[in-house]
Amino acid sequence: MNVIEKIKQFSNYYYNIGLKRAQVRDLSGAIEMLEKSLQFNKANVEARNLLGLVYYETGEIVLALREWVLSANYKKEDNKAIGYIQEIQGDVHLLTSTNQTVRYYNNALESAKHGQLDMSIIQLKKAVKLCPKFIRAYQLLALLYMHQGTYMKAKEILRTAGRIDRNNTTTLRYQKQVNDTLRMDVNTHKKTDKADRSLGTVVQHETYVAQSNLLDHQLWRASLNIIIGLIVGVLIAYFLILPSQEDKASALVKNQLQEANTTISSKNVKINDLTEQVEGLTRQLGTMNEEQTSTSSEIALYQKMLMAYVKYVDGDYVGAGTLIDSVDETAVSEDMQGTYDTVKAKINEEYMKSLLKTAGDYYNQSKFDDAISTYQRIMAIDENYMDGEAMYYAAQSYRKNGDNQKAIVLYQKVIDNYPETQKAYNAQSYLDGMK
Amino acid sequence: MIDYEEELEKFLPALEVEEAEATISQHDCTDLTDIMRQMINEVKRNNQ
Repeated sequence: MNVIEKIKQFSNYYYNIGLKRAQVRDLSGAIEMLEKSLQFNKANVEARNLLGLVYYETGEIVLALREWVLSANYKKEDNKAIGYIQEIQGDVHLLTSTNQTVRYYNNALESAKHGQLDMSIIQLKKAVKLCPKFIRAYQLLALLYMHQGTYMKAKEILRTAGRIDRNNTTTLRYQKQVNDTLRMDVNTHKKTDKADRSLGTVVQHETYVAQSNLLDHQLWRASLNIIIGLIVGVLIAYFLILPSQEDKASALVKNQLQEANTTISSKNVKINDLTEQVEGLTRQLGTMNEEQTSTSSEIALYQKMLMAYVKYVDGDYVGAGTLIDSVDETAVSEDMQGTYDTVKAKINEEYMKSLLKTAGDYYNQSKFDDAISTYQRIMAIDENYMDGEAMYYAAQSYRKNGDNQKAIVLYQKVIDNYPETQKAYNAQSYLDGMK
Repeated sequence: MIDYEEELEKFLPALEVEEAEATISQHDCTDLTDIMRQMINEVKRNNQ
């Protein structure tokens, strides 16, 4: 047998001891032996798998996984460790609860180190509820109970831990401490009870004698105390409670009044705002109506201008002139003034010619009323049209129509405006003949 | 008599499942066979 074989034999020897200890639930002992076995032969798959199982049984799932993964690495086929790993990895609930347990435990440890024992105990209770085999959590919980002086609770916890791992040295040490302390407490109680009982007998006798004398006196004093108490109570109610209640009620009413005033003033402000808004909107509406009216009249004006131009193009100069004449020149906007002037000038040029011809026709036909009104239209546009032609024939028409007064006025105008002309000479001779 | 502070120090934080990989890589797996092989190699080197 070579050295390597001898070493493997040692490894198997410790594995067998570990197995026996695990079978009797001496898990700590088993861990110790199995670790020794692996120190001789790290590739002892049986020992490593069993060590993983023992760790799993004490709630150390991460350590169990470590051993099984290493085992699977040494023997890739026909290895129970592969099955264990798959089983754990496939159980999502187990993984989640394991992590949660670890967090509870770690938090508890941290809290304990910071002196927050109650918090730590709560966390540990949660940890052992999630993982009822977690030896470390039980031991820490027992230690905290012991530190708090609640030894009975510690005893109960250690008993549970002992059922999982029988020969765990930490559990055993804590149990011994708990048992010693509880035993000491029992002895102290016994002594105290004895002392209390002997002292009680003496005092009992003395008390009995004095009791009867005191009874009457005590009854009288108790009645007096009750009456005084009642009087004081009534006085307190009258002088302290009632005024305070009245003050409270008055303060309440005051507050309510103040709140109501605040509400009213805020409402008034709101009403003023709304009134201003209404006024503003009314003003806006008026402006808009005005704008709309002016826009409508502007549109009518431009329609007239357009129609006058259409008539002008069609050769209806009289119609065009009449229309353009009816346009209110003051209503034409500055932008349109140029266009209006151009259109009007063009139309009037032909319009005046037409009017003059029409008026002449009326005159020749001796229709002097029509002639007068037509000449008046020409003069309304341009009084001096054709160097006073319309003015002169208007005067002639008045004279022939028998209206000498108007004729004289117009003859005089012709003489004044166009002196040294044929029209002026004729006008003068007619004037002379009329006088 | 148990010293509370001393006992508390003995408790180490537990590992979460995600930390298992790190534990494996940090775990010292040296066994007696490795030590023996190392010794044999050292003896051989010294003899050469």
